Amino acid sequence: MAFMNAVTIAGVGETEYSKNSGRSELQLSLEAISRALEDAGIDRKEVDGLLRWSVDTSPEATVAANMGIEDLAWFGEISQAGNVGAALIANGAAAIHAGLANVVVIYRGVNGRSGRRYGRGDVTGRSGRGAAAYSEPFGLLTPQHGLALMARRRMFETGVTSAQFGMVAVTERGHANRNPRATFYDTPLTLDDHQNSRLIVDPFHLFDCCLETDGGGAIVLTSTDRAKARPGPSAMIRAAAQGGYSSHGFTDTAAVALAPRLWKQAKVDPSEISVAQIYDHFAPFVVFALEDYGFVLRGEGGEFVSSGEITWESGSLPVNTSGGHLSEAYMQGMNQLIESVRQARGESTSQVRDAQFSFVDTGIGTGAVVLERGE
Amino acid sequence: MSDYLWVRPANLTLPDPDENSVEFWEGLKQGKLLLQVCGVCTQTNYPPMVMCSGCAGFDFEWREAEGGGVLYSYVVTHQPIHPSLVDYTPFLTALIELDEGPRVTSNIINIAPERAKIGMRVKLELFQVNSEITLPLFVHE
Ligand SMILES: [Zn+2]
Repeated sequence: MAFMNAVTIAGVGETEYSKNSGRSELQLSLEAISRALEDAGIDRKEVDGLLRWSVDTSPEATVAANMGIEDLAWFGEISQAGNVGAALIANGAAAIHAGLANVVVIYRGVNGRSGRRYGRGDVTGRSGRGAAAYSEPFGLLTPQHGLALMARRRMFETGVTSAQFGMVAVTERGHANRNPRATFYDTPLTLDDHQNSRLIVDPFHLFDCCLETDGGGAIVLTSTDRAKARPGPSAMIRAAAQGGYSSHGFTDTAAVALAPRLWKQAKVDPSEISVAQIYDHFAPFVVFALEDYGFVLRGEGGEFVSSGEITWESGSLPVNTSGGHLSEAYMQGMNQLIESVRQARGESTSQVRDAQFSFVDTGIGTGAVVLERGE
Repeated sequence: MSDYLWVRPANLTLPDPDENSVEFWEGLKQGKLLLQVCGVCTQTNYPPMVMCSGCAGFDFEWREAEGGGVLYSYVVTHQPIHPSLVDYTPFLTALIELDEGPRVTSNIINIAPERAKIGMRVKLELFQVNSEITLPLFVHE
């Protein structure tokens, strides 16, 4: 069996989120790591494992040198793009569970607005090589292009509408308006605002698209026994799974393959989840995740959203309670993982009561985590 | 039929053929959209693969596509998200399901983006960019 609460997210930390941090991506990571270790009550000398997104620009060795780590016993990166947050949690927890490391820090520092911008294909590139030779020459240049192509077909097949996607954005904005850390804390959003916002890549309107953010975030993993030094409720890793290479259908997210594995590993089913953070680089993918992870049936996600079921605090499954990537910050899943820890601990600005099980999808169904509150 | 004719952005990315796809791009230069067909299990691939996912074979044949298909999905780029796209938006990118089965990312060059409709019939129209590269584009019939 996988780790089943043997490993805990013992600390989380983040910098402010902005359009121009005024400092390096490395510094953003280091500041976030310091805060996460302080939150965990763990000295930096105890850290012996480091993990990052492969798109992150700060090598583990550089981070280790800055932290003064004497013996970096375990480290790594996970490839693809922003969507590997859960894979990092799963691999870090596995290393601790296997005894390869005692304290693993996962970090992300990015100048996503003032530096290289995802929305312009600065990170994912335009090479015309390999598989890109069959997409980029026809104008599929950025992540949103390929995802919009899938979303359009899924709208055709299931009848989900742009206005229902808009209600994802409106709901998340409402949550951001309660969260002082959120980029859009002070700015409300109506469905009319969404529907009247300009088209970026049709069917995606401006307010279907995530922010571009400068910021840093970090997560400290350690054994649940070691984590008990921190007082108060904790965020135990009930299950964590990665995926994404299955040969699923064009309109399926990778969750179609991953979800059965995740729920089996977690020994809970979707109806037992109280709160969810879902990777919303584009609003439609919240609807698709709700369906493909089995929270609702395929074709029912749009109605689930527009009828208020993902809205704090009246909804049955509040989603993206910090404002998500659409309205808090786009940290490639890091800020959503941090919010899920807050929910497990009872520290969110839109706290779901009695949230024993908290769910996180970290991108198009390619990875997910279930956290359980520990007392 | 409208008079619409899409103008391909002059600096839009071009394919950079690698060792696995030389025959495919050479076929287009000679006027043929080639589909990769497994010599053992007859699975048809687009884009070409290195190993057949159906039977793990490495022996492929090339078969010329008839050129007909339907619009399976599409997007319309409105925001010129790269300098190469300024003055060329909005434009349509289409996913065409060929009558042979595989889906091809392309452009439909004779309809305005707002006229795209899933299920519409299209047929192949080759577009020579330069002496090295010809692209498989489509027209609405
Ligand atoms: Zn075969």
